[in-house]
This record gives sequence, C-alpha cells and structure tokens, in this order.
Amino acid sequence: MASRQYATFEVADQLFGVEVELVQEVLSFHEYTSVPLAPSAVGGLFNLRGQVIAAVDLRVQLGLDRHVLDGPVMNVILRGDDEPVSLLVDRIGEVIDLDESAFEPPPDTLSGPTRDLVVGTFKLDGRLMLALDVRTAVDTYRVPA
Amino acid sequence: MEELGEIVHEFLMESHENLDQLDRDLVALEQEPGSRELISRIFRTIHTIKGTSGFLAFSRLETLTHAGESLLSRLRDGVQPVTPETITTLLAMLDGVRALLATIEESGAEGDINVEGVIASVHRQMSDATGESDAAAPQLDAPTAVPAPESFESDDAEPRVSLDAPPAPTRELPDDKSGRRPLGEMLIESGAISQSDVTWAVQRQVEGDERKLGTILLEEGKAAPAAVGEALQAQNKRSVADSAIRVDVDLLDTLMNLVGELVLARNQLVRGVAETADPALMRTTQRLNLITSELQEGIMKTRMQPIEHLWSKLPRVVRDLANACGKQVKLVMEGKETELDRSLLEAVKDPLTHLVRNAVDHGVETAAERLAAGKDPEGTLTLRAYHEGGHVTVEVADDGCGINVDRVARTAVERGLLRPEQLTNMDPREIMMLIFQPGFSTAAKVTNVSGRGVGMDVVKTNIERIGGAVEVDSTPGAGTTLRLTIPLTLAIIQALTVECAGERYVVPQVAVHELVYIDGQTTKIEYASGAPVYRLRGKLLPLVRLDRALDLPVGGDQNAYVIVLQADGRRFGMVVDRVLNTEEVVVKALTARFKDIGLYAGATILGDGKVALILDVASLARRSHLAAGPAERHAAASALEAAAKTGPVDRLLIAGVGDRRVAIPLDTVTRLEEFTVDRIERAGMREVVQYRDQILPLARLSHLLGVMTELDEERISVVVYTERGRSVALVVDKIVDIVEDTVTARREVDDDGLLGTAVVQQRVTELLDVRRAILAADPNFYTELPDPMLVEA
Repeated sequence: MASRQYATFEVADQLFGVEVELVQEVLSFHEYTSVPLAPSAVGGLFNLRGQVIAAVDLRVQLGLDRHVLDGPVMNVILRGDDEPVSLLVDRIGEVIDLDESAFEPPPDTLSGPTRDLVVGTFKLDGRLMLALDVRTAVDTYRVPA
Repeated sequence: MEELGEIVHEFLMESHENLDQLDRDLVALEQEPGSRELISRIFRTIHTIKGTSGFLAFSRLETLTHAGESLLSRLRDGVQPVTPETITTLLAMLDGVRALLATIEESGAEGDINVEGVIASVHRQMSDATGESDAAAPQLDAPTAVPAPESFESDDAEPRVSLDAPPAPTRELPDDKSGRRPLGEMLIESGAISQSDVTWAVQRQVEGDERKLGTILLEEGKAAPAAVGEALQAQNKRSVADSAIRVDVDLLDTLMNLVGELVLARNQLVRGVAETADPALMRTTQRLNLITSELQEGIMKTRMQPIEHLWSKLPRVVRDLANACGKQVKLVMEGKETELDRSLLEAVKDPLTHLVRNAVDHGVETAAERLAAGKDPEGTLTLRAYHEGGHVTVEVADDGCGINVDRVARTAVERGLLRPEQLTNMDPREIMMLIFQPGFSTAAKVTNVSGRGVGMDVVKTNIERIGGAVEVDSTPGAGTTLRLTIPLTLAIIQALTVECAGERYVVPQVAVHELVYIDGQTTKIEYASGAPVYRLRGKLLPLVRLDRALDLPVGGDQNAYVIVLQADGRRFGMVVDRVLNTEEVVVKALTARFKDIGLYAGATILGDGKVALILDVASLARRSHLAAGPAERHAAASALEAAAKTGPVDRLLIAGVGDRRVAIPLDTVTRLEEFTVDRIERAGMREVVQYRDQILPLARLSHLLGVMTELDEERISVVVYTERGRSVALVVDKIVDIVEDTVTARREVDDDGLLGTAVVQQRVTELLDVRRAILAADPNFYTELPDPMLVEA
C-alpha cells in the first residue's frame, strides 16, 4: 500500500497537513511588514535570506481572527508555482507517514471556509488530520463564502 | 549534429549583429555614395554571410547573398553608381536575409521563404545599369566580372566574384572572422595595392624574408605609407574583438543579484559597526564599503551597453518612413556611446522607436511646407543621449512645426479630458503634457489635428514603469523635443525611506524634488474645501496623505513632512510622519498577488533586514486624482468628505465592454476569472460554464448594453457574483482597473442596464445596474429557494 509523508501543523487546535515535498522549510519569524490595501488574508511580508516572501494567514483563510504579528509566528514555507509563499500557522507538528488507506474524503458535515481548503481527512491515532488544498490555501483573493 | 547546431547558433547570432550594422551602413552609403570604406565593409559582411551559409548548406540564403554581393561588387568597382533605388533594393535583400535567418532560427531550415522576387529585382538593378555603364567598364583595372543575370539561380555555388575581383578567396572560411584580417587582404580591398604585389610579398616571406608584410611592401615601394598605416590601424581596431568574450546574460543577472545582496549586507554591517565604535573594525568596514561600491559599479558596467545598439535600427526606420511620407529627413545622432543597462535598453526600445516615428510622421513637415516656412527642405531629427546626475537622458528633437498648444487644449476639452475653465490655470507645458493622456490618443482624427498622439500614453507608461520620466518641450514653428529620463539600472535605486503610521516605505529618489517640515506654525497644511494643500513659495501644492491613501490610521497635520514629488506630469506633496534617510536599495519584484493594488513598485530589504514596500509614486498621483485639474480635485475632495460622512468611499471595478467603460461596485464582486471559450456550454438558451462544482450561468454585458464586441477571443474575462451559495458570471471584454476612490460626477441616464454615468479617472464611465445584470444571467437568482440541483451544499 502506497504511503505518503505529510508535514503537519495546527491552527485553532485542528491538525492540518500538506504533502512534505511541497514544503520548502518551516521556521519561526517575528518581523512582518504589513501590506496596506492587500486582501485581509495577507499577513505580511518578511525577509527570507534576501528573498521577500508573502505570508498568508491561514487563520483568516479558515474564517478565524488574524494572527497577532507582534511576536514570533510559525511559517510553513511552501514551494509555490513561481515563488515560495508562506502559511502562518499556530503550531508546527511532526512529519508523519500516512497510508493511503487512512484517507477519506472530507466529511459531509464539514462546511464553511474550512471545507474549501480541505481535500480529505486522515484518521490518525486519537485525532484527525485534514489534508490542505495548498493552492486554495494560499489564494488570497478567494473570499470565504 | 549537436556541434553543427552550435555553429548555426553562432552564425545566427553573428549575422543578426551584422545585419543591423548593414542597415546602418547602407543608409549611410546613401548619404555618402562615394565612400569606398562603407562599400567595402558592406561587401565584406555580405560576403561572410554568404560564405558561412554556403558552408552550412543554406542554399537560398547563399543565392540571395550572392546576388547582393554581385550588385555590391559593381558598386564597389564603380561599374554602376549608388542610387536610392540600389539602396532600396539592397535593403530589400537584407530583409530577405533576415526572413531566412528567422526561419532558420525557428525551424533549423530555410523553409519556403520566397526570395526569387528580391533576387530578380537585384538583377534588374544590375541590368538596368549595365547599358549606362558599359562604356566606363573597360577602363577599370578590375574587369567587370558580373555574369549575365539569368545564370545566377541556375548554377554553381562557386563564389564567382572572388575569381576575378578581390578580396582573396581565403575569406570563404567561416573561422577566420574572429581573428585579425590579413594586412594584404585589407590593402587590396582598399585599392592601395594589387593582388600580385601581395602574392609577391608573401612569396618573399616564404622564402625567408623576416620582415613583416607591410614593411616589405613599403620598403619595396609597392604601397604608400599612408595606406599601410591606415590598414594597420584598421587591423588593430578589429582585434579589439579578440579581447572581448561573450557572457551569458543569466550569469550576469546572477552576479547582479549577488552584488545586490552584498550591498545589503554592507548596509547592515555599516549600521552595526557605527554602534560599536571600534576603530579597527570601522576601518575594515570602510574598506569593505569602498570595495563593495566598486564591485557594484563594475558588475553594473558589464551589463551596460551603448545606446548605439538601440539606435542602430533607427536610420532605417527614419529613411523608410520619410520615403513613405514623401519627406526629407536627416537623422543626427549625438552621444551614441552613452551606456545603459541592457534590460533598460530593451524597455526603452519601443517607446523610442515610437517617438522617432512620430517625429518623422507628424513633427517634420514636407519639403514644400518647409520651404514655404523659410526652412531647409530637409528636416533634421536629432537623437541625443547623455548622462546627467545618475540618469541617462535621451532626447528626440525635430525641427518641425512644433506642437500647437491651442489645438492641444481645444482637443483636450473636446475629448472631455478637462473643462475650458481649467485651462486658465495651466501653463503651456502642462497643456502639452496632455498629449500623454490616455484619452488623447484614442481617436485617429486627433492625430491629424494635433500632429501627435497615437500611443503617446503608452510611451509614457512604459518609461514610467522603469522609473523614468517623459517631458515635452516645443516651440511653434521651430520644433519639438521629447526628453526621456531613464535610470541607469533597474536593480539598485537611490531611495528615500519614510515612515508613515509606524511602517517604513521607500520612495524612489528620482521622483523627490524637495522636503518640507511641517511644524504647524510657520509651515502648515491648509484645506481648500476639504482638500489638503501647502503653500510652496506662494503656489498651492496639492497634498496626498500617505496614511489616507493606504487606508491606515490618519495622523495629525503637525510635525509631519511634505515630500514634494513630481510624477505623472504633476507636482504634488505626499504627507508622511517622518523622513528617515536616503540609501541605495535593491529592488525586489513584488509577488504577483499584490499587483492589483497598484500602489507598490516593488519591495526591498532595508539595512536592518526588514522588508519595506517601494511606493509607485505615479500611480499614487493617479489614484489621488491629482492628474485632474484643480477644479476636479475640489470636486473629488468634497465628494470624499461627503463619502466620509456617509460611509466608506466606493471601490469600483472598471471593466471595458466594447469601447465603453463600465463601473461595477467592487463590494458586490466575489471573484474575477478567466475561462477559455471552449469551456462555455449551453443550457437551453443560456451560456454556462462549470465552475467549482457549480453550473455558473453567464451573461454577456455586451448583449445587455447592446455593444458590438469581437467574439473571436480565446478567453473571456468574467466577474463572478456569489450570494447565498449561488453564483453568476458577467462577461466583460477586459478588466481595466480597480479604483478605490470617489465618483466625482454622476448623471442619471435611462439606458437599459445602467444606473447612470460618472467621471472616474477623468473618463466617462457607466455605472452598471448589477441587480439587473445578474437577473439577465439567472432570472431566479434572487428567489428565496435556490435550486438544489445547481448548488452544492
């Protein structure tokens, strides 16, 4: 049975995961430059070794309050199509091996902004991990329904 | 095979360079028909192309260049004179070569480019001239070896001309072009000595004479010292090519980026060391500072190319266009050697060509008109380039009829760009700048009236995009000068760092004219009917509050700074909280997701490592309605005030439908999408697309508004509305802009599907009746129970 590796992280106590090969690196960063007039999901810009990276606030994408950006916040930096883009998350989890058999489509009862961002559910011991649709998650121009 | 590909590649690259030079030389030859040096150079270049194409088995190319070479050899040997018709034929021959090379570059083969017509006209040139020049031919030393035209296409690839006429056949080999050319060959070509003298001298060398070829020829009295000196000089000039190498541009770009990083690291270090006050460390840092600056300069130099590269195509453009318009135009170029970053050269190319065309087309009068005005029948177009304070200035000056300010003003009023009463406040230069307004250029008749206009707004936009500026200066009857100010490089700019609402922003220094501190006592911000202004030396300067423009918490009017900026043809002041410092910053492209905001030119990393946004001063001016006249600004200001009382200002999406501009309130818009036409399906009478697991009904605004538009687009732009889980899409021709400002004037109209018209960005714009448009797409959109078939939970 095929298995895949997922990098996991938490937002509002829910465990999320993205396929590990999409992740460039994970790091904590504390200085963000806000971008006035940008969509609300844009947390800010930061300097990653000379490169300017946009951070997308996953909390906002999930319909929650923004991250407070006056201290360190964890970034999951994803290899984007053209340039890296970062997701601001609450906490970083482990990288886990997951068996395809543990995968299920999102439950029908899942609705709201989260539903748009999730492609499936993985059943772990004791908790569920939602697999993120990375493209939608970093799309700052989508308006949560 | 691989190797051959490389040879072809090299050949293409070199021929490309050569062709540009040929264009220039041919046009120069037309001016100076007697120049042996020019003819020889042209001949040589064509000969090289011919030789290599024969070697690479591009037979059409070879036949074509062979024909050209034959004609050229007759010109060189004086068998027939250089006439404008010969030049035209030769230029046509070059175009044929270009077309062939382009096909070879694309497909690796010559394809089916038809060169017969050009070859025939080359032959016609030769046979036409034969009658007249028959008598002259026998007197020449070199026999006219050009065979009858008919035999050209048919037979051998043997380079016929070289059998009888110099140069020596050794030039057939493609590999000798990089090295120095043999002196003997050059002397033969310049006509100083004969082939047999060289053969004799070479024979002497073979037999053990250790003197150099030139020395032998001189000392044996075969050649004049001046001729040998000249040839030696030319030979040395050529060998400069040996000391240069070709470098991949990507590599240069990488180096440039690295130097950018180094500049950044240096800035950080300098800042850090200043705090430690360790003298030894300070010295080292200063040294590092110096080296970095030099390195930066050096790397920048590698990317610099003389503007001549850009100008080289222009003599041909001017010649062709002048001929087409029946005008006589002389092109003068000054400062060819002025250097610019190559990426900028590329960016300036089209605008410059446009300005030159415009000047020939509309600026310079016909010979008759010029004579009537007491001017030289031949007009002069002067291109001038020079460095000035960290910038390159490029001028396009004609001595034509000049810009008629009254006509420009009248046209601007007719086009609705401004109201007649606004003209009283404008000086002539401000009025002339109107030719760069987008609305000015749309109608063809405007070009006839004003003499200029088509695409001038595009010129301006393109130049401003690279951080440059355009100015116009004109004297009626005496001519027009357009002045482009271009930064030396894109990657590193001089910038002013300012602070506003606690964040730092970067303003390109090029736009900054002066700084004024507002203490609230002797210098203060005043309000003209709500619009902030500052009295700068007696004149009112309109102000833009950066915090307000960026939708940040608005600060006070005291202890602030006004940065006097010049952009978009307007002078205005930007109010910020603090001015921090000026430094060189490395421009980083801003991710595409912020492009829609439009107020940022990029981002940069400041000395302390934090990211700062670089403001796009021109769009800030536009956004703030500064491009409009003072009266307009008042209207905007009062509308702003009114809006401030009632709620937030309108955010409008401006869409193009046919030739109309339609404004859609942005708060009702969910998404902007593009679909390929093949995704459109039909459901009954309606067009739909599948979108995010929904069936999305489409309504074409062009139908709704009764506008004719082209339907052959491959993609359609749509504006998606979503409400209670239902979506519809309105099809527009294109999304023009998003404005986050006020509507300055409204008028009700009773047109179907419209709420009224308004002036947005100084253009008449129709306000869409969104509800009606939605109902056109989906009549049930507003009914309470959505059809469960259409909508996913």
